[in-house]
Amino acid sequence: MIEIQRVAVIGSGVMGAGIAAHCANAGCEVLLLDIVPPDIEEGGDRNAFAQSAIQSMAKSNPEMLMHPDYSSRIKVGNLEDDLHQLAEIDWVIEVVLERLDIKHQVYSKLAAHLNPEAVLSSNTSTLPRSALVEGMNQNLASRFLITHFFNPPRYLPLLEVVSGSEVSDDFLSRFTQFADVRLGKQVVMCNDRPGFIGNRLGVFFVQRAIYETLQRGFTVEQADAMLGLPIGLPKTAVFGLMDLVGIDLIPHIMESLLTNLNDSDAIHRFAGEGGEMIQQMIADGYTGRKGKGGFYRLNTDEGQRVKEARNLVTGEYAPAERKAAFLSAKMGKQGLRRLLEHPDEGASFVREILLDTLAYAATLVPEVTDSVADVDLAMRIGYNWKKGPFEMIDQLGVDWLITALEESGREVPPLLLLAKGSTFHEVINGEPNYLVSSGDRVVLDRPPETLSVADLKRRGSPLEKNPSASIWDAGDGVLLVEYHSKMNAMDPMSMEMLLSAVDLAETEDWKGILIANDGQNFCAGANLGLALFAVNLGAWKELEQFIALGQETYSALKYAEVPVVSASTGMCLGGGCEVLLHSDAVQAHSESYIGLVEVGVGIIPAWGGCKEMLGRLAQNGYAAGGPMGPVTSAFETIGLAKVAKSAQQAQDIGYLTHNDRITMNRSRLINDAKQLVLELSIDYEPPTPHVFHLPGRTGKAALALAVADLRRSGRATPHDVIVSDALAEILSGGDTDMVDILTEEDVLELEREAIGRLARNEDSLERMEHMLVTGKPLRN
Amino acid sequence: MVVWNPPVREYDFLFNEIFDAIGSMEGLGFEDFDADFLAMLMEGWATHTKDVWLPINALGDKEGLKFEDGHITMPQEFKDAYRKGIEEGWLSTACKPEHGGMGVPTFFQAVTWAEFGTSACMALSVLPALSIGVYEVLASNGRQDLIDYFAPHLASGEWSGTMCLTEPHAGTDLGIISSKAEPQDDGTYRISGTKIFITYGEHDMVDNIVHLVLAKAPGGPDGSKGISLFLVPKYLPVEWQSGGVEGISHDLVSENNGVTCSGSEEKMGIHASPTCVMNFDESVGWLVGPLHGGMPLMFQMMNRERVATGMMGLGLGEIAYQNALAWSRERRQGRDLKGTSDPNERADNILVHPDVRRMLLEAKVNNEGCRALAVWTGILLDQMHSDDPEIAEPAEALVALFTPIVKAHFTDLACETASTCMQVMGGAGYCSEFGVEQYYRDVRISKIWEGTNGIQALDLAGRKITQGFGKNLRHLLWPLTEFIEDNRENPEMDEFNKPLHQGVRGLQQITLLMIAEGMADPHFLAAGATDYCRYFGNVLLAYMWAKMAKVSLKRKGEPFYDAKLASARFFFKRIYPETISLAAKIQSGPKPLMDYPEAMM
Repeated sequence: MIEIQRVAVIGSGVMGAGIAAHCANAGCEVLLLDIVPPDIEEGGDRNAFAQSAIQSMAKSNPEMLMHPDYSSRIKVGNLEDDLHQLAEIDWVIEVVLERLDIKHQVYSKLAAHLNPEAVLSSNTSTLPRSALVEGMNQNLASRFLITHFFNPPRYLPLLEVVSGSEVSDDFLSRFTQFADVRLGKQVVMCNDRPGFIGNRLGVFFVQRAIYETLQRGFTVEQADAMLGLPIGLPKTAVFGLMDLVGIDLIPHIMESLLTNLNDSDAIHRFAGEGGEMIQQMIADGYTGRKGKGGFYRLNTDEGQRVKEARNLVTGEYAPAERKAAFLSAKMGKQGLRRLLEHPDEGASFVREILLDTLAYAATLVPEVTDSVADVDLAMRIGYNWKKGPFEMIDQLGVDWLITALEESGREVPPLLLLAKGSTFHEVINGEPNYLVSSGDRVVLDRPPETLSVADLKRRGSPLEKNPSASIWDAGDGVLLVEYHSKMNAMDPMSMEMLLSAVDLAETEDWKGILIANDGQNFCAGANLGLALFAVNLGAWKELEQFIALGQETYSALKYAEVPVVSASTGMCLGGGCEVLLHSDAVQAHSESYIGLVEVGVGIIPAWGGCKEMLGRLAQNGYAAGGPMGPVTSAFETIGLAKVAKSAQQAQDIGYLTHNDRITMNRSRLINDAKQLVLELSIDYEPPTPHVFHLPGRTGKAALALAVADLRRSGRATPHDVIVSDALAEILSGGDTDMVDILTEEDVLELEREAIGRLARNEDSLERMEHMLVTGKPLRN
Repeated sequence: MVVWNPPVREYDFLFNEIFDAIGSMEGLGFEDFDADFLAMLMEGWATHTKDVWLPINALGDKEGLKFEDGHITMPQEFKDAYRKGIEEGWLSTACKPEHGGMGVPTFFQAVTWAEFGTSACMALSVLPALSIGVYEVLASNGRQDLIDYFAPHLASGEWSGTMCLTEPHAGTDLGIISSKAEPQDDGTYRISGTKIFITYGEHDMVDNIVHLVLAKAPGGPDGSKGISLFLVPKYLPVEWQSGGVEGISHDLVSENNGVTCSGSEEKMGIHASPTCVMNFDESVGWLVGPLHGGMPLMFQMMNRERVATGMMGLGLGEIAYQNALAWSRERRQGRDLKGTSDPNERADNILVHPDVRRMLLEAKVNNEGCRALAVWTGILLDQMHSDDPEIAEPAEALVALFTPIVKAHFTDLACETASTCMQVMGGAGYCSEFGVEQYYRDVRISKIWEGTNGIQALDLAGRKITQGFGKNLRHLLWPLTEFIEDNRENPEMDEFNKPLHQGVRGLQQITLLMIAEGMADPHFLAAGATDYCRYFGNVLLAYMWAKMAKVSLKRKGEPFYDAKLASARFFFKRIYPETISLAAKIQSGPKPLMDYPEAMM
């Protein structure tokens, strides 16, 4: 097999487009092919299908592409004129309709044109590989895989792969390596069984829930309120989930599963229920969010957006009940068992569904995989469950579940009996193990480059710890600082841990510091709630101390005698972004959403954010336009609270430099970052401080003029003008001149003065309060 | 013989020199209200309570009320005194003129009226206080036809009002009440259930009693969000049966509305104030405010009664102090330790003894400080209804903060004061003859009703502080820190301003601590709440004393102002230092409480 660099995607529907976009995100050249439109007119665009997919990519929300420029990496074509181009392609992925005959046609059409070493794969979600390779020559079959992505392909990290006996281990592992490192996917190997892991269990759960909902006459709101957050599933739960994935897909998947699964499979018991209702909804155009609504819809008739829910009996829509959960839902917070043992009807509803679902999961091993860990992983990252089914069983207690199944007259799957008196997952010598169907326990098999803070936690204790952050020994002489406050927000205690880490690294023999965590977000910013309390209390001294502490801490990171690397992922906003700006380098997860968003809450970056943006925009040639260039550019970036929607976009804006590195696979992020620390630690020297030549009053006047224009045209609010003025005061250097030299401390002082003023402005406080209460910015 | 001089001069000082009460009413619709009018009101009310109410107080305590066959009979002297109040219009000062009230600002009724009334006769004063509470809820939330009919009767005092919340199993936790309201076709409801601890639920001083009853109507959610408020009169007047009253006419067969009293509690104090068990048996009632939205309305009334309760504490603290002082001036025991002060007598007057002075001055200074904060609170109660958000918003924030403190801190201090004053008097204080023994018993309820002081502390620490991430505090602490800054220019203010500054810094730090720790452990907030409330009360009183000292410094040499400065010094040296111990207790967190082995308690 050759190194994969050029990819062809056959079929340009939602999934095809998403996969094509994501391959472009991974740096591949992509050829997107679809059929020639059947009703094409003379001289019409023969690539129209693929072409319109490219256009929809640009408008997609959430965005399929990590950078708008990446659309240029995708070329379009059709299955009549462009097959010859396949000779250059390293991987061809088929994403056409879920019909065996059509897929067979496509494969035979492609076969003659494929590069002899290319990978051919199908994105089928339910069809068995054995059926797909029927009629394929041996050589092609030995290069044929099922590669099943989850929607949206950019954001859901699960990739289910089914291989076959014809495929060599070497061939397979080179593909999975590509999928892991380049595409950033978590590869889960599945046996060739219908629906693989995710859809087999996911669809069972959904169908089981529909059955119970209709039997009991529950409303969709009740069902979703009970089956979502209370049991650790996303709040879309069942009916919301169907709206999300598209209700029209459901009959196809169901039919395929029912045809391909034995009559003894439990899914047959619950199938059928709700089928007519769903057919009717599809016929009426209620296909979910992509259609005119589904089980929920947004009614905008009255000028307001009203979320409505469908009555399952009458098919009518009425405003959705917001508090549909039963009392037992609250019990979920005290553990799943408390919920299931609650006497109310909501709990018994959940219990019926969950008992069958968990038992069903236990029957899937070893049928679909012999790894309960992979079943759990697939449900966590493919369906966003907080815990996989076997993790849930461990939490409930294997013996509890066995008793509950027996007491309700259900069959107890053999795998459960095997685990009786113990758990499926177990930590042995600090390493995660799990039970396999032979009764043995095996160590979780992971790529050696995988590292998480959870691994460190299993293996030992933190060197130092307080409620907001901990310091860990990450091995090989690297210290790791982990935030674990709410949203990983920065507060005085997390600052204290950062300072402590710098102190430790400098006084003992450590090679460097890594700032990272296992959370979804690197850091959502300063702990605004605490800051607002301090302000409301008039505790100016505490506020000043908090600001000074941040400046001192971030300076300490920048000038530490050892390298500091941050591993960014998810939200890196405000004070979190400023940590990145003060790090020697960032190892960024591609899904890093970085921004200095302070103006949104009526303040300005005051932990050196203004200073660093000015410094790096001047240094790295980011900003054109002479001496005013960096000032104007920083003013726009901070003043508009620009948030990069990927690491790649952050490099454009200047939140990341082009020396910072990007990791596609979240599970590799911390290890990659650690390697970067080790690399930088060789002959490390701290950076030299920035010096600034700033325009002073004249520059500020120019910025003010621009803001006044925005105000006149209604694009800036009255308070935007005040906040922008404070920002302009910092970025223009205050009372200075181009020929003067300002130090970093000078700019930090300007930051402190500005935030001190804004913190006393009640309009800024309104913005903070509004953000804290509603989660949305106030435009006052 | 009980003595009492209504502290009119004190109020004059507070209204006119410290707070500019008249100026603060600008734009609130009290154009005819001026300083002379206010002075006249105070004098008139002082005279009325002294002449009419004070003489019946001990009698009420001894004789009490009579409960027989579901009826409560009040002493004739009470009926006469109450009647005189109606005739002279003293029971409706804050009611609107269109309902026959005097239409003066709320602060007079909420503060001065309440203090004088309680000092003179607490058992009687709670009746009009309740009626005004009912009037206010009705007038601001009721249906127009209900207002038109009931408000004038309540305003005049011809009818009285109650609030019916508590049930045998539901006191602090009102979410679990079981009284029911069944909707009728004609828009009324039928209310059924049992309520306890209903002050003046039944008595014979008025023609009719208007109950505001919390009950659950069908279709509401569980808990306090499913509770509605109903107006339920004791009698359905005859004119309604004939359809003579538009809107609320009703096809009635009897004027009896199924409201009965099945008992009156025997209790420690306020013997002439009935505490009733009330039964509602399919009684006709009208919804007041939104369906299932009764709790906010109840809290509107409750908050007013909470301020009123704080004032009851002050009223009894004041009269207890005046009597202990009067007694001390006569009493001679022992000699001045620094040498005989009165060689012609067999013993010196006990005011020569530092410990006696400690007790009397604690009482006096606490009363004076509370009175100042009460006046400020009273003015804010009017300002919170301003149309100008610049005035209304801060006033609302401060009332939210001050209400639990006025209720809890004033009544805690009042109970201490009554006890201390009895102590000053020794055995005489324990005997009925001198009055203080009654005040000591009467005042004790103030720490309990309208939400116990523990609940007040939780309200402050758990709700009022955290609302809007501390927004209420902004309206207090920003101006307060400015006041402190301004005073730095004036070295004469140092002795007051510096400790005030320390207290404010301490309050800021302790609040941040409570918030930061409370986020992780709600027990931290709850364990420190009572101490926090008292700490907060001390800081507010310190602010009051600094303000009073600032004004008094300008008129040094005049006895009244010199005394105020002496009071301020006493406060800062002898009372305020308790903040240090309170802070230490708060910082200790919940462990000493919650780690204690429950089985060994």
